[in-house]
Amino acid sequence: MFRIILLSLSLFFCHIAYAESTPTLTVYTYSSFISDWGPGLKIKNLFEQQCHCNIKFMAFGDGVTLLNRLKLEGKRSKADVIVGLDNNLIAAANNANIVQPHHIAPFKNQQLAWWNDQFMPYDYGYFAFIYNKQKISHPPTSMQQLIESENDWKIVYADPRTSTPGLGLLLWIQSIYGDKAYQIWQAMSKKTLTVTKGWSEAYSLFLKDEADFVLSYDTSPVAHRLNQHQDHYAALAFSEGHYQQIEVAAITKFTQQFELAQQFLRFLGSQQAQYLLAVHNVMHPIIKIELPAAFDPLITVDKFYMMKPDVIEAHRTKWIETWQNAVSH
Amino acid sequence: MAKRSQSLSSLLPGTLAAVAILGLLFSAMLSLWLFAFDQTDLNFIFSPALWRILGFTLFQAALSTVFSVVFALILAKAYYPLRFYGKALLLRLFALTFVLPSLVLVSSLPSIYGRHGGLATLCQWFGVDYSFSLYGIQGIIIAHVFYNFPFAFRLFYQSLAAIPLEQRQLAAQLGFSYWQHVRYLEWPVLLRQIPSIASLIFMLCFTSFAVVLTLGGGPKNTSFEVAIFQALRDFELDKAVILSLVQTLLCLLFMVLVRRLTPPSIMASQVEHPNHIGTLSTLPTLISYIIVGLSALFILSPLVVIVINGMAAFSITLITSTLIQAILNSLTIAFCAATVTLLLAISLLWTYSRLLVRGYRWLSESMIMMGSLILIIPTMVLASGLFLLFFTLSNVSWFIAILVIISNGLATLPFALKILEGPMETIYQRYHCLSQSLNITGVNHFYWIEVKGLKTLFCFTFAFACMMSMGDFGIIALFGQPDFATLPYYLYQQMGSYQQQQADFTALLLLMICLLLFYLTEILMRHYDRT
Repeated sequence: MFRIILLSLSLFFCHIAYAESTPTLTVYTYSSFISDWGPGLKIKNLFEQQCHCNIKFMAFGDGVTLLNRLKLEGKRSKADVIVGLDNNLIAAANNANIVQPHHIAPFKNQQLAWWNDQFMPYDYGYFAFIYNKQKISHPPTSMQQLIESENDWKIVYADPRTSTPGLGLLLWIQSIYGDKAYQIWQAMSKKTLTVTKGWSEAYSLFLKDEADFVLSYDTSPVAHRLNQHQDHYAALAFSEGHYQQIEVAAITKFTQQFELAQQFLRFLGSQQAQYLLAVHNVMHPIIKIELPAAFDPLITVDKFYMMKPDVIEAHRTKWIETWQNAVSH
Repeated sequence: MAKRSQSLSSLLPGTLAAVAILGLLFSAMLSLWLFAFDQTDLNFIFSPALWRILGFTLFQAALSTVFSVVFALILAKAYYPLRFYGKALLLRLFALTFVLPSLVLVSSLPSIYGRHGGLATLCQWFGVDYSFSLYGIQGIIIAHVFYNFPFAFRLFYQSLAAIPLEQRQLAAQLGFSYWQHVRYLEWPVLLRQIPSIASLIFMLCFTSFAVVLTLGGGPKNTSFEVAIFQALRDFELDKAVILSLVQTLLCLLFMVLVRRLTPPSIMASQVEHPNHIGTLSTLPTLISYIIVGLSALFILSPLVVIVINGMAAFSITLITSTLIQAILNSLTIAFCAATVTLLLAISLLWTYSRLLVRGYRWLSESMIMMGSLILIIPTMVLASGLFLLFFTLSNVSWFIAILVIISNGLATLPFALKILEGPMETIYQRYHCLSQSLNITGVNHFYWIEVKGLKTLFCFTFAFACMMSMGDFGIIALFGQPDFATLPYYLYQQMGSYQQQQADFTALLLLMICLLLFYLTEILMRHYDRT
């Protein structure tokens, strides 16, 4: 009996000693990043093998919830790294004063032109409408065609007030049409089936054949090819161009382990991690790498938009009001 | 002296429960308010858009409530006298609508009413043009009636079943006509239930969010809760708190109004009795069967769609360790939360029924209102407030687990209160004088009178609370602890990761587990009855 107690005690202390010697990196992210299908846990395993550390994930509903949590925590935050904000949230994150420069240089074979001193990009995509090739034989080739079409098409998208892709559509329309956005929204409202709370509701209505087009990403067809081996979903390529979304990671101001955090961010840009991010987050990698064949037949985006963070911050409320008034009549 | 200790024992449980609930809710709101207060200036006004939203929210909530209550009354009346195979099963199936997460509901209703849904296909067969659109006020009402009418029906049915045998026999002897039966026997019992059921449904519809947004067909038809959600997302916390307070006041006003408009309790009835069912003539029987059939079709068709889709999506690879862990988490949280619910409900109603007998009607009703408050305060606001309140503990797993359990328990409390309110009051009134003369008080009273008389109902309430907590997505997503992923959380993750077909199977699993829960409770009860 005594031996057992001794053994368990020594095991216990070994455990504590072990726990003290391996540092823990706390990473705040959004929940689908670390789901069974997301890239998070796979990246964690790979990284832990080389850093001799533990990664502890905290997962929130989405990027906005994550940012708000950090704002609530303020200086008391235990987060070392944030993974999962996007280019449209950068201004808000800067205003909250929660991140510090990462001091990482752009990657050698980087295909994404964008770089930022505080927020390191790790994958990106373009907002696009997805349709079913078996149902629509002559898809529109521009936003204008989609909105003015005489077909009885129905569009479904997520609300810009409550979701990230919804805000993306708002900025997209605003980028193309500027002051004429009001009229465009009015025209689009005639073709709108409904506006949902989040991307998930909109996408599942689309999959149930309720709508002909759903707002999503240019990479969405890849997910169908990879997961269900279905090849009949495709993205619409618009001649006006698409709006770019870049997902970013950052090091918090409050971290005690800057170097480890930096190491993790660099790892996100490595070939291995980029492959996992592309395949499991279903986005474009920021560096040039070999990808599965499912990524091949994607639309080519020649022209794209991306607004400056401070422009978004300054006009967002007004643009949302414009949208709300235009589609409420 | 004896009298004083007796009044203490009758007041203490409910007062404690009420103080605990109010304390938790208000300190959470207050901490959020205080945090916001030194963050931003208080400079916001009610925009015209907000007034419009408020108007629409009141309108859809009122309409949904009226439809739910009226349909439930009609169905309860039709269902009660019928005798058919599977009557108890149908009753159980009806209760299942409550467990469906809104994400599942909004994607399964279109399978019936949508542009390519079951109804549209049926119309096509018969060559009828199907022009019904699910998106708009009609869709919102269909979804809300689907959610709430089965619960209201269950309560009305329970009241009808509680009409004493003697009264029915007397009515038969006096040769009451069908309408006299309704007018003098059944209506008074039902009427007594309407205000509280209506308030509960009204609050649920008022604060309904994802359903209203998705089926509303656009931002024209959004609910007030969207404004609160938006304020929280934009980190305008003071605005979020003020809007939540406005929402709370409005709902309280509605509750008070409804209670004022209806007469006080009329009669005390026996709690349970052997089901005496008179014979009906042919025509009413036929009409009753038609009503029951239509309601069953309305409730069961979306559930059938979920079952079919779930079975179609099934493959053994879907049973992963994460899924099993999620089921276990859900069950643990559900059992603990249901225990909290039952404890709080019994404590509140213990005091409620004693106050009522002594004539403090207003005071006793405010106890019930306190128990229902949680429905009006948005989960996000509550969670953020709780987070600030217990910041230092926010990384401690067991503490988060307790918060999740308590908030789930509070969220189901209003329903438990509603199920037990009438019976607890009735049983106390019935044995009031007897227990006084025999000096049965406190725990003894609880065991010999409440437990003995209401054990079936306690079990049902427990199962129902379990079921509601199973389906609740709640505050887990806001606390960021992946260790407590529940089944609905898992389902949301699937939906968000292009795994929609697999999510169909998870939804089916959720339904099956809840059904099983009901069965198990009933088997346990039967076993308990025999021994």
